Amino acid sequence: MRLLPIRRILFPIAAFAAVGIYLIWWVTYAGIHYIPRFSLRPPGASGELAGASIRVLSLTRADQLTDAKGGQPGIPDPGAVWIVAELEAVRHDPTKDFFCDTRLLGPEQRLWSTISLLQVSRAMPSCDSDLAVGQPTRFESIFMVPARYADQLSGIALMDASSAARTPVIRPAAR
Amino acid sequence: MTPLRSKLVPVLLAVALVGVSAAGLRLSQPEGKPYEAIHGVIGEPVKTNNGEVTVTRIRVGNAIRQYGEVRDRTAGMFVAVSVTGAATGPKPLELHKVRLASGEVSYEGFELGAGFTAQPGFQTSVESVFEVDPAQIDDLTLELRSNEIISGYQERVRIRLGVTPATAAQWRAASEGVLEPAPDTTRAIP
Repeated sequence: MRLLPIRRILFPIAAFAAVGIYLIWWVTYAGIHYIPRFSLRPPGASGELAGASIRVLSLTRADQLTDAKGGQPGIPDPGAVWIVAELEAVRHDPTKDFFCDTRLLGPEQRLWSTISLLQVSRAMPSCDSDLAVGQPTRFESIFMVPARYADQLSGIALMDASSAARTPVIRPAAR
Repeated sequence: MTPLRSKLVPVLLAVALVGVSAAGLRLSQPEGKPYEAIHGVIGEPVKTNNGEVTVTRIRVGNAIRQYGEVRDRTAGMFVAVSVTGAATGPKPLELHKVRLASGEVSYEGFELGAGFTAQPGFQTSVESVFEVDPAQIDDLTLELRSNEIISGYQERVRIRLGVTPATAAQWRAASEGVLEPAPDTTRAIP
């Protein structure tokens, strides 16, 4: 029996290894960039978003939204409730353009965006992208979620599509 | 191994790999279409990846009233299709590209924003209006799909509205009237 030369064996092994490395790299890249990944922070801890530290002061469930000007309260869609998140942000990196993309994370990674067109006036302002540097600023984000998920919420996800890092999810401090 | 055989093996291997790649492409794009058509009929929910879509009602007219005033008239026919989309899964149901088709003829929405988004756990109902040629409404089919800049393998929901050649004349006759499209509504999925 004639032995195969070592070069003839090494070449296909190297080719398969190169293909394998490419496939592993691509699957990892796709997993990082296309499948949402979250990092649940401890209660009361802050998360980073676009050069700012943000923490949740309170997360409140409500059947109505009071109108600061004494008008009719805001009623959610049938079968839904309001979730009001009071947040505090401290912008510490003026070189980064701050933006607000806070979403509510629910079961099985359900995400709800803030309600931007409210029918009521609120005493607490909503998030302003023009935050002063170094100055703690409070604002609220209002969400509407189906009532059956209101007791299964994980926290506020600080979304940054430009980052491949896990999305921080912040929660209010335990009482 | 002779020199001829040693050159033949890599060539045959390359041809085989190209063949495998071509077969893979063929399998991932059945019938050469980069989408999957999901067919349904009026009144029955059609399941998609992110939820369910149901066409609940069709109305016809030759004028549109809004805020108490007749805003638009047509020499053809307006068709208003009531659609409910329910985001039953963890992702939102986003179907922003909507059109009516009759054979080779395609009608885009009369107004921008004929589609809808339903957030997870919610169902949204809209009434989309189309201006159509009354002579070309046989087998009218509503097609809904997501509006993607870079699209992968898409789902396209196609729901037949029940306008057959036998009933087309009745629909044309019924279009002498004013339509007032219903406002969009949203509620949690019961």
